[in-house]
Amino acid sequence: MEQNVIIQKGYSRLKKTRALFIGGLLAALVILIGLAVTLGSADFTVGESYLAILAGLFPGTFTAPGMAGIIVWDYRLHRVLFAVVAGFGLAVAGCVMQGILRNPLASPFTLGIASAATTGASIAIVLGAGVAGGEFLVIGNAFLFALLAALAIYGMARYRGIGSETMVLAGIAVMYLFSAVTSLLQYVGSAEELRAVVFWTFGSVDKSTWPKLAIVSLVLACTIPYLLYRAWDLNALAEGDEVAASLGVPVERSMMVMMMIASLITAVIICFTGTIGFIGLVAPHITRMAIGGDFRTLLPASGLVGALLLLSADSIARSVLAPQVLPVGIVTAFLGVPFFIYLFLHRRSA
Amino acid sequence: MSLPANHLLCIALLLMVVPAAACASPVTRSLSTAEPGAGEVFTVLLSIEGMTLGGVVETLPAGYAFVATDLADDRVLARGQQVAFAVMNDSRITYQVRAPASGSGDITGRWEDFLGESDGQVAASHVAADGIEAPVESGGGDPVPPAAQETGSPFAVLAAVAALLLASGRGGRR
Amino acid sequence: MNRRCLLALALLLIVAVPASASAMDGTPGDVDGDRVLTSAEYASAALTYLDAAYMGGAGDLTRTDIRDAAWVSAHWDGRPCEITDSSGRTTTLYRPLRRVVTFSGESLETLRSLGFDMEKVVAVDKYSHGKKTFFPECQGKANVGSIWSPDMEQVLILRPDAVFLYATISTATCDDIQKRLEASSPGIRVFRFDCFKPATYPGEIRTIASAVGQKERGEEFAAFYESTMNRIRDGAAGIPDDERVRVYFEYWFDYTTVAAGAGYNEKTRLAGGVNPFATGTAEYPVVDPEAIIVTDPEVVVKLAGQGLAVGGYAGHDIAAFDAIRAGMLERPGWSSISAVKDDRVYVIHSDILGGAQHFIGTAYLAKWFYPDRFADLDPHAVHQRYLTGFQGIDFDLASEGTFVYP
Repeated sequence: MEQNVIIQKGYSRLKKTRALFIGGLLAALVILIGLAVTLGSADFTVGESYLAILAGLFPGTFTAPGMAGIIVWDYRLHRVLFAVVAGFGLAVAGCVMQGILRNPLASPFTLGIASAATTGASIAIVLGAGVAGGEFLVIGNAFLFALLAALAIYGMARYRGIGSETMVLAGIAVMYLFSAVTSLLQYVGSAEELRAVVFWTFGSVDKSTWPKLAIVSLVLACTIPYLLYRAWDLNALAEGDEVAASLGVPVERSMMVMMMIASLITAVIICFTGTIGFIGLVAPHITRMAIGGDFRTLLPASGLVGALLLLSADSIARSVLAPQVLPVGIVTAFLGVPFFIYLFLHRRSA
Repeated sequence: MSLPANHLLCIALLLMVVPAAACASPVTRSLSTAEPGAGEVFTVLLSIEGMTLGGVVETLPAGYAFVATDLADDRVLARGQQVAFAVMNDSRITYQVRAPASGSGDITGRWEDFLGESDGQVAASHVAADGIEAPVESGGGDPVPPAAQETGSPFAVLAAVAALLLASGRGGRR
Repeated sequence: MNRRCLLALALLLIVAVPASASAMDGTPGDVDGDRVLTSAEYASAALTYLDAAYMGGAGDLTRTDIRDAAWVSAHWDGRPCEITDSSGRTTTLYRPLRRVVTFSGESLETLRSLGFDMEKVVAVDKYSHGKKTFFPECQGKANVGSIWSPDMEQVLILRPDAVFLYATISTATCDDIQKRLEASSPGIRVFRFDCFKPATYPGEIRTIASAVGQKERGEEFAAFYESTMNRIRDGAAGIPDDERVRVYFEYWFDYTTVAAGAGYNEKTRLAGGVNPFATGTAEYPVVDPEAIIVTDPEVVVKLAGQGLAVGGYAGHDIAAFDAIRAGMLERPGWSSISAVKDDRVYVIHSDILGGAQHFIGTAYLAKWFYPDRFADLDPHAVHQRYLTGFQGIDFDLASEGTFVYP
């Protein structure tokens, strides 16, 4: 009887910790958004930036000073929101990947999706060939090839039996294949094209626009609820295939569906931004350390952590070499350093 | 009567410097007479140099009335004591002014060079009606030799001396 | 003449003023909106302005408006100026350019050659900003980054009326910048000019000259440019194929040559040279050192510049050029190459072979390839005249900068 009470007390404490954690994250995110909107090379005061936001939302009541309205709404606001949404999506995708591959070092890019997207972008830039035209040439190709990689993984895994080991092996093969093709395209291309490809691989939120933000938000709005609905299945999968099967979870189908959804989220984000690494790897880890591995809270919480991380990285990227804007992918790459050092120092025997 | 040496020097400097002062303002004014009779119509000549597209706004002293000008109608706007001229590649503009029975004052002007993007004042010209009835004129328009208007205003002398100082200050550079 | 006419004129002006106020995107003063500022319209605009400025009248032409009207009247004959830039787009200018932002150093240089008032350039790209010797007046101007990393907020804050971008290179990036600028600020004119390609430069000079109201100077500069380039082309045209010199052109990096669409390859060909390594599609292919000896080039040209930073406008460093040349002569097997035996190994700086000054570098190439045919060509004099006569900078080639060696 006492044991039950102890467990219950422990659990309610855990629930409170989780609620506090998520609440704190939300608050921090709102504050950070408020801060990030004031960053930029145009010299506005904090008040003028907020006035510009309000003037855009309620044009009758407020008027923005000078160019503030245009700059905040056309250049800053959608970029900040895009960083939030992209960070959220990448972290959730990473979380899902870590769950189905049962590997804490998995990320959205473990299955070669980033390499495939880079190949798609290179084909568009160097050969000018693609599925969509005009400004969506690179974006369309990147998205298509990312999905192709996911389908290739699916095909290979079905052939050899679906399990986490087979998926990782298939992912490595896919990654090497697409990397080789990208290298060849980079060699063949002109200096201009090479530069464009390299810039794309850095990963940046520079090219965000309101329509792109809408597309990514829409995809997330459709997929995240489903993932939350199926979070318990992920919990079961984390225990092992046999355990999950005995709990009534359709193991293979779940893994495949989750993998495709995570790939879809990743693809729709990186086709607009290029490859932004480490968010999908680091965010779930940090969250797991704070509130444990229950996917029902781990998913949304790591999403929030990812959003915070990417927004901070972007704010740093915009400020550290002002007025030059660093690609955010470079800043997040530096994130990996303290993370792996921490892992190295705090290694626990499995 | 011999002038003292430093007066001679001043006049010599003035003569050297007057061209410099004149270049600063592209518009210079001269009157056919500085002391018109009562009701006399006299002619004002604006000499314009170095300004192709611009404007001049003349302000007449109280009592004096603008009569006519040789410039086309669509380039002149007269209202009250002020007359605006749109300068379009003119090197000289003349206009007639009727003097009152008595009264004196300064004709002042502002010029603006639209192409050269500069503006300034036209040196003021003092005019005083001497109260004597003048015979009716047939209408002006003949070129009138300029009387000594420049020296009437102390401003021009100050400007000339200032320009001389500036010129000597810059002389060492080249 | 009489008061009634003047009154009618005044009334007309009062009526005309609101009409001119509504013509936002037109030449100020063009009251009937027929896109032609006649002398009558200009005169009435001038009077409206003078009335408002000095006589207490009610008009809304500002000082800038009337100055723009006078400028358009004087330079464009009262008509708007249609500019077709190098990307094929046509823009109409109703007012002179007063606030220009250049993302391309070549356009900036061309504007300066045309006598454009550099005070009206409000911001430059970061590379031009860093050229302290060549663009001394740009040190104090705002820095808008580069094409690949543009500081869009800075550009918008400056409220420019014209932005210059490239036309045929970095097109996707330039298109993106153009789109974002035009979306945020519909009044901005974006001009796409290369200003470094021999085929299009003379046309661009004339187009930009008419846009900034410097037609005569534009003609003079274009004639100066064309006389040099035509002299080179004509001189090189008459050379029979078997007499053309074989050239090994080495880029900044060792054993890397230029080929295909690379600009330096084009200029080598323009000067009458033949580049035996220019096969394939790669622009800067790496060559096998043995192949150089086997091909036995008659002239060797080495490029100094960004990747091999010596000389140019930034420094007077003949010793460094000599060292580069000596290093090449010492390469194994090179003593048997014709170019080394005939002492025809040269170093040239990309400042005068790339960019807007390519005609100077190409003249040097022509003279090196065919000294007899181009004996009358004096690239040094052309360079000095360009700097003193057109660029207007105080740079004495005899004592400053190093561009060619020997």
